[in-house]
Amino acid sequence: MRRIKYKILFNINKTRKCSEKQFFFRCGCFQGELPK
Amino acid sequence: MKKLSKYNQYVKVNNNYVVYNLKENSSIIMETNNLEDLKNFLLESDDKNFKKLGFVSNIEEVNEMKKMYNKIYQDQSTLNIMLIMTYNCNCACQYCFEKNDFDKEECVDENKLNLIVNYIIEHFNTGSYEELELHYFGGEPLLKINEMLFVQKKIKQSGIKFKSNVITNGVLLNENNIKKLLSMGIDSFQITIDGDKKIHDERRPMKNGDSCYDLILKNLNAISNLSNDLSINIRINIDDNNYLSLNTIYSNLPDYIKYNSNNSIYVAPVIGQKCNSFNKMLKARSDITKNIWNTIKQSNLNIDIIPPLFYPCPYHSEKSAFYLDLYGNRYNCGGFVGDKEKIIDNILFNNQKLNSNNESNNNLNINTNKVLDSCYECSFFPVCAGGCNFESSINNENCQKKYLKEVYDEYFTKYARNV
Repeated sequence: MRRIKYKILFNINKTRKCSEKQFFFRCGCFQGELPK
Repeated sequence: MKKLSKYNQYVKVNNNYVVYNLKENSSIIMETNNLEDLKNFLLESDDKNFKKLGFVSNIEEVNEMKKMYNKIYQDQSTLNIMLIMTYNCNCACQYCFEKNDFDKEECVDENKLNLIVNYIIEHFNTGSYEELELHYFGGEPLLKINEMLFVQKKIKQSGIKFKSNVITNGVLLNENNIKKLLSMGIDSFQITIDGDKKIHDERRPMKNGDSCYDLILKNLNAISNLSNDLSINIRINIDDNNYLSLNTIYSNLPDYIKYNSNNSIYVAPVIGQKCNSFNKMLKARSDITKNIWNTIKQSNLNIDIIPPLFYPCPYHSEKSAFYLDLYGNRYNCGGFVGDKEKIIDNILFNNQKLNSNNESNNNLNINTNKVLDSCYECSFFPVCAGGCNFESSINNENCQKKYLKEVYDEYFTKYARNV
């Protein structure tokens, strides 16, 4: 095994439960979001 | 046995590889341009970070993902109801998606409102909900401000723990109305501003063609002088016609909107539904998303760059989120609002099922879990969760993997920052 150097870029380490605010923001689904 | 995670993605950046994992939302950059070496190293190394960051796993990931999805699908911590106060609107936005299957001048009497409120309270009490979130929606909900105040008062009297907000075009959010709303505990608003005066008025004119931009800004000013506890979310709908002016839009917003911690600015890339092919739609959406991110980064705009996420949305909850109008009709997607064909059931007529093509297992179960088994195996499932009900209904296609790969590659190689 060849050792490979690495650097952590990002680890939000979040729980899967999204906040209510995210619900509010995401409710139209971001990808298919409706222009309200 | 240790395996590479199904939810890993590998992106070559110059002579390195960026590896990201969508289950754990983590990414690393590795000093190699050989993907096989990299994978072997992740598997064989005893470095505990790789397991912690989700890149390797010795559990059955698909089963775990199914459990995770079902937990979200059946979650009953918060009951989210989008209450459609009216289908009528005082604006004529160029891009309005709502169908006009209903009488816009409908008159809702107190008796009917009581039935709606009683249903909400009963639904809350029959679940194990901890809190109710009531979103006043429309049309333009403030056209029915008295009815809103009535609902608000009744829910308050029920003793349910709840909070509410209004999704409004802001035209009627004047000092007089805001005082009434505040007195009933409504202190959170989403208002859409699509550009400077010229752009906004072109895209979101009043029904009679008049301008409403100055009026909305005047209202925002009045609101900010009334209370510091208000929460204002400014939504900016961005598409091909206005994305180049994001800077102008932002700089035209009043400072109290930009810098107050109660407030937020939400840049929504709304593009695609009207493209004539699914692939074109994905391409257009990917391009606009990347353009917006780049504009935000280049200009140091004070807006967080957040990648797309499909859920939670009403479609992805069993009974804890839905749209409800004052006729008693329920929808499981905002895109279906106003379309009689898409009504799931009617709560005023004993949960009568109105459309036979909408499967429903029981009276209160308004959504159906349509996630395919193969979806759970996809690297993007943790952010897609089987996709968007609205889009699949108009495209007969739903898999957005190609688009998600493009935008997540970009996000994890350019914009992701530890928070």
